[in-house]
Amino acid sequence: MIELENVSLRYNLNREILNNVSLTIEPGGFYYVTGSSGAGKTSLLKLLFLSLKPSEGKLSVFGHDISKISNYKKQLLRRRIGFVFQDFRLLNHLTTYENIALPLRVRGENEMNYKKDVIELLKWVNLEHCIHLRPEVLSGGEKQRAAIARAVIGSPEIILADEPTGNVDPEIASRILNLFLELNKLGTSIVIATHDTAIIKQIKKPVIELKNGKIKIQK
Amino acid sequence: MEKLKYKNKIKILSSLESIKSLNKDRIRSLAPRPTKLIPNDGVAGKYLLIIISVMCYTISLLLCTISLINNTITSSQISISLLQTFNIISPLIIILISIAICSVVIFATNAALAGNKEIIQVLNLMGASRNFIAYQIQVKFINISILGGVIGCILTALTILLINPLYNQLFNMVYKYETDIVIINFSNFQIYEYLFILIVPLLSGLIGLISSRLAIINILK
Repeated sequence: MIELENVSLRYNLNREILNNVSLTIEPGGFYYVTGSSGAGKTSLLKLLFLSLKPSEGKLSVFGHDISKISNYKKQLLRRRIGFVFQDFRLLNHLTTYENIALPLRVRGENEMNYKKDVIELLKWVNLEHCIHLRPEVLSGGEKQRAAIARAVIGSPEIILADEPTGNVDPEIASRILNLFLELNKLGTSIVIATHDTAIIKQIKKPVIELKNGKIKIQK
Repeated sequence: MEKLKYKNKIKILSSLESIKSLNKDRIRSLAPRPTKLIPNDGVAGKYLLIIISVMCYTISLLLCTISLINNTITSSQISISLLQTFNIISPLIIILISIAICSVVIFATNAALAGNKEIIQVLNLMGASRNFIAYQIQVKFINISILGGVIGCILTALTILLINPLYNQLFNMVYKYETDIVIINFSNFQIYEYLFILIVPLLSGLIGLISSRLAIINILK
């Protein structure tokens, strides 16, 4: 599904985030990405989401070498990936319903075709009561669930979640994790970046540990 | 029966009162309509409209004057050379104003992009194509450009219609003493002969479309 071959990632100041990393994300897999703060968890997710280009090495997403594809093709590939941002990235001028429907709206789909799906998804994440509310009045947990619903609405093949339980209490964190588990059972690959060991212990899955630019996979 | 009618009336009136008391946001939350993806254009659209209208007004006025002058009877060599000079200068002025419209739209588009940077980033991350994002922003500028052109044309027509009686009075006064004058007879002015000024809104819209597109694509790259 996603393959990194000897990938290195450097920022402008020659600070090496990833050093000669090789990794394969299998279809239907569930992975945690862990590491201390600044270890490069978010950068790794951004690489997988095509937001960053590797400084060296080869990155293949759904069989496409990203160094050889056009910007438009990259956008099309991105539509097959769902991303839950650490800071939610919900648009404050849109309602929860509109925020969740956003990935479909930017694809030019007709609202009549997706209205029902969005409402069902709102029920699934327990946000029916927030349908017409704007993100500014939502709680942290509600925002997080809205962000998850937005990542899910386009039926992505893989979901990348950056600290999805970072801003919520343990009870909601557990509920969010169960949402991911349900999605994984339906065949969606999940990659969760977290430094919360309690979460990792709760559902045992392979852990990609980042340390000094290298990765170690614990199965 | 009468009592029932009265009760229903009271019910309807009270519901109308409750609707009146609702503020706009509350009404919108009760009956939401699709919100624009790019909420504000980052620039004051009203001022942009005024600037473009004034520019389009100048262009259409110049176009009308060129047309009028080319149908003018002249009585001296000096007048002919004056008209020739005007015929050369005015297209240059029109080109300069068009460039100015282009620059104004580019600046306004850049401001709109800067003001909505975060929204554009999110749209990009959601997989929106460049064309989709460009369309969301430039619709506003195309509308303003076309509207500015239309306002310019209307103002030109009004100006000529208003000038007509004043000019005729002035002409009659001067003509008594001066023989070497350019005879531009506004009284012969027929609006249907000058419908070509309607190309101004089209030209303005085209300038708005091309310049905003260039600015957006350049930044999105």
